[in-house]
Amino acid sequence: MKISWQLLSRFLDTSEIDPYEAAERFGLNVAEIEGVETIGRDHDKIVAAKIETVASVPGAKKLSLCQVSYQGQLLDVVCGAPNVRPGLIGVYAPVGTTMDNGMTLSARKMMGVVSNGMLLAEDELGVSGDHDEIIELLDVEPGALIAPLFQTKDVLWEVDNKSLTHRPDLWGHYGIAREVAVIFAKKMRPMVTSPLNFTTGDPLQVEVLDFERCPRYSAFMMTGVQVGPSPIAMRGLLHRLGVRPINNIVDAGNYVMLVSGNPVHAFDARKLAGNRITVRTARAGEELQTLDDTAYTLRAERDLVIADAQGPVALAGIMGGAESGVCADTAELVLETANFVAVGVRLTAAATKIHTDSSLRYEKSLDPELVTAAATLFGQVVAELAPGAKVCSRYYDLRTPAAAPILIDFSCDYIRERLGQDLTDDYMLNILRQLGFVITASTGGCHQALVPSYRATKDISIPEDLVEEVGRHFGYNNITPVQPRAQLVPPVRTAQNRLVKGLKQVLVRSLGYSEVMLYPFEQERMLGVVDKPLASYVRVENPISSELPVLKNSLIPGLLDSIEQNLRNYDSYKIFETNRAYATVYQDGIPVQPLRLGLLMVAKNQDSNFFYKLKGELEFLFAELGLPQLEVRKSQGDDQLWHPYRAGDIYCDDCCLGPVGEIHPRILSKLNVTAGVLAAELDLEALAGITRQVHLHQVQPRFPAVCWDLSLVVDQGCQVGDVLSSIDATKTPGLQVVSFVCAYNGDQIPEGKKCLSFSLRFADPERTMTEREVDILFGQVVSHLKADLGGSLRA
Amino acid sequence: MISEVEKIRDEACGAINNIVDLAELERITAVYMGKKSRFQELARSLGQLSKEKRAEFGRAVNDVKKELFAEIAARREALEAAQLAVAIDDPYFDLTQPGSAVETGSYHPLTLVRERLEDIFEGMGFSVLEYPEAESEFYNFDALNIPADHPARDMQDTFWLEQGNVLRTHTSNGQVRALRKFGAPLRAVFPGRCFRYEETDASHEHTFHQMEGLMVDRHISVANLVAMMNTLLDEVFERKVLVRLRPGYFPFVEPGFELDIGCLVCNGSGCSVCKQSGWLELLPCGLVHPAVLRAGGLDPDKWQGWAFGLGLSRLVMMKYGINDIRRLASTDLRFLRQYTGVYR
Repeated sequence: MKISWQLLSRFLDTSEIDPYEAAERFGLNVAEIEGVETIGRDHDKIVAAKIETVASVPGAKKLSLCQVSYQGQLLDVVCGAPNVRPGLIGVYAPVGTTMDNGMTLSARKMMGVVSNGMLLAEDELGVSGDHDEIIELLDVEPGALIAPLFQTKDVLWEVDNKSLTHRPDLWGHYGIAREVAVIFAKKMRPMVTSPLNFTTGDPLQVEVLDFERCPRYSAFMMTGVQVGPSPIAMRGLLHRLGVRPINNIVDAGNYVMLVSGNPVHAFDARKLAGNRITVRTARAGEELQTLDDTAYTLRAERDLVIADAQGPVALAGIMGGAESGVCADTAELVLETANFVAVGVRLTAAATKIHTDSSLRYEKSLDPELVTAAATLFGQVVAELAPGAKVCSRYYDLRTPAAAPILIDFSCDYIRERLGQDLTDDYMLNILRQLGFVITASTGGCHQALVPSYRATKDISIPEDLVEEVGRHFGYNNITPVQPRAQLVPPVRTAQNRLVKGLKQVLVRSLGYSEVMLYPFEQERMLGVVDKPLASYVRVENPISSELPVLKNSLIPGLLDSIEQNLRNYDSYKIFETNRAYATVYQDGIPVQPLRLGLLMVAKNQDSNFFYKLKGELEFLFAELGLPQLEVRKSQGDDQLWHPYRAGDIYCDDCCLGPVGEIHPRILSKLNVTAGVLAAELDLEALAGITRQVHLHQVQPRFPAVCWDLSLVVDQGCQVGDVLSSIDATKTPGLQVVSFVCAYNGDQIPEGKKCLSFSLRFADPERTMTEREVDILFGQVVSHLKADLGGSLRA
Repeated sequence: MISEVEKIRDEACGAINNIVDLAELERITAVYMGKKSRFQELARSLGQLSKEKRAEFGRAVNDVKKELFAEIAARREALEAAQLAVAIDDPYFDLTQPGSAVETGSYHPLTLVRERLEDIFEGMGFSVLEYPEAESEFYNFDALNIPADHPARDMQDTFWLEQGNVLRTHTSNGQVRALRKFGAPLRAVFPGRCFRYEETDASHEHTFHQMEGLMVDRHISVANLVAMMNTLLDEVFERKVLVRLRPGYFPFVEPGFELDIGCLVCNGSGCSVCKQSGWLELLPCGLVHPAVLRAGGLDPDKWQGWAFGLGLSRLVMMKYGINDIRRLASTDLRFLRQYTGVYR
């Protein structure tokens, strides 16, 4: 929101205050200022000047060569406006003037003629956006200074709207001025100087049917109105504040809103059917064409409207209707100043998507007591801008009883303690008084603060709020920092946090994975690729884009999405992500959202042995994390994402942690990927729950071990795991380690068979085993295997 | 017999002197001096000789043995020296050629900054806790004194999920959850992902990371908040940081502040990063609102607290000079592999 220093200066004496310093102080004491800008810095050079002659410029149809008299000289000025004529008194900026866009005028050659300075249109003077014609002055002597005449010089603040969310009183210049007055210890001038003279006329019927949503509605009539443009100074002010000047009546209303913060509206009295105004909720099927010429179907019982005898004429607190609005021949007005409740306005604005300066203000919960002053100001400004306009009715003021004032009990000690700063009672109470609080002292150092009505809606209600009022005006930066005296409590260390840190370290530092952090949303494209039922995803009701409609239930599709791009730069890579996946299972009302680890390993030109690379890395990871040996078992589910054979589920301590394996070639072909792709996904909450093993000290063997190789020819279907458990079952004494060496099914192996090689290590802690002993033990293992698995030793 | 021994000696010496590699030397040694060699055979026959002859022949055998072993040792030494000389002969070895590449992984920059902050906070007695991302309206809004009619609950700011849940809009959702679970006193940070319904551009993302800080104890004041923030931020930035507080409005704190730090680029003299102001807006903070303490089951007359919400994504961008927040969700390894160092 823009704030005009010129307008602020109407409500307090700013002659000794620098607007830039004031902005700085305002930012530290009140609310955030995003920028300060000087308007018309060089306008003291701009004067009224008369065009003496007008000639055409050869070769340029639209340009004219004017001779302008300036300081006793006749200067050539080239001008493109259609309304140039001899005798016109225009606004002239001489050579050397710096315009607000930063350009400095120089004597410039155009189409063979030198142009000295510029005749200004309204946009160039900064009083409107109009560039059609140059300004034509009436009743102004040539040579007169323009800036004081039209008050074009100003300093604008850009206040951050978000920082005013809780301050309905700051949505008008008067409220901003009140804070500036406290900062610089100045007295406020009243918003309105004299009351309006209402008559006894009673031509209207005004009723409010929904006081809950419209706690106060006031209206009066004015007659003798002549609609026309506002004076340049008014238009310029509105233009600078970002409001488009329309006509004197609409401009007056906007001015009142900018000053008081209370939006107002003027109806053309002729067009209010039955001279009747009813504030009520919309009825079924009612429509309204608003001032911006858009038609809305209103929500019955929900949207609050102002209606005449025939139907809605305005959307309450948001926008007036097109038909009842002020137009060129309007002569009689009904001037509305009302208070609407924030929630209703907000919901209707959201539903109709009409967000106006008015709805923005009502959404902040305006003070109903503001209505009287705003209505009075409205009447005064209309009378000023439309001379001849006169109040011609009584003041209709329908309202619920004023809310009981908010009283807050507090002590000065309490404020000192919360701020942690030693301030005197007088200093603190004085700040509160300047801010409009009425302080009554009672017994024992306890006080009572009566909150001014303009701070009492959704803003100040508890003693903590008073701490803020005192603190911000004292200046938080003036508070001396003091370390807290806190109780010593050991922090909570969660197993999951430790696990995540540890596994990231192993993956990054030892195994060479790169970490990614992706969005929680699943790409619609990937939904098509993995083809799981939509009901298995948590739906986002208002997705940011139709391409991100649901939350991920697995991290893997997101990782797969990285392949195509990265294979352009790398032949192989490994990435991981730790993030949440969301299930449509609910616990305490919210989706179960386990933290997962997703791993992806990609390399070009791989065969089925690629799987064991990832499995080996996972085994290493588990060992590094102190977890028991993992197992991969055939998956019970039928997730189409995975290769039917080269994938399974990871188990540790008999707990299923998630899938691992090759991505199904069908999925890869949908992604246009031809490389080998392995993935795994582990549930980290389950993993954190597995007891880690402390590595106990082992005595290093004193006697040498003997390693024997075992090459077993078995059926294709026989698995390494079968052989290992079969050997394990023999409980052979002295057999310490059985390690898998390789699998082979080359030329020398019969059809339908394969050869599995193992290395068996025998040792006795007490003595060296003899060859004969080992031979016997080895023989026992081999005959057991032959019997158990039907294998034979490789010749 | 002596002449035969001497003949062997002469033959062997000739052979040894012609040997050019060590393996051959071992073979020749075995041929002339091994168990089955003629020399050993002759030596073994010593016992069969008469006493006088035995002494004479014995001497001869010993002399030859000594002589030959000395020859062999000399030859071995020469060969080994020659071999070593060849082995180390590499005058053109290029010391400037780069070392072989090591396959290495990389942390996400958000993890680097997050873990560093967790270390700092843990060192000051803060717990590191995590809370749900898909959250109930209650913990994301109501419990934080953001009533149903508050504009922050409008569709344009929040992602709504089926069953009336939301994607948390801030890590503050952990405040009441932590207070209910752990009570007071409490010192904790809650790092994590947050979400806003927002169109994305270089400085706006619908998914971003925050770290909430919460301290609840007896007699907590604004002066305490300032002191703690000074200390923590000095640690975070590893230098003395200027801090200032401005009024700011957040429903779950009262009073609430915007905390600025002196611009780290220009040290406050004004530059393009701080838009010539000398200050950078860093984080919102404040004293915990009594309604939040009550929602957490605490009596605000007995307990007070402060809280802050640090934008981790923004901090990462500041630290590493990343000018587009969307890069943080990138899967492009060329971006990710930049973050490999141990000191972060």
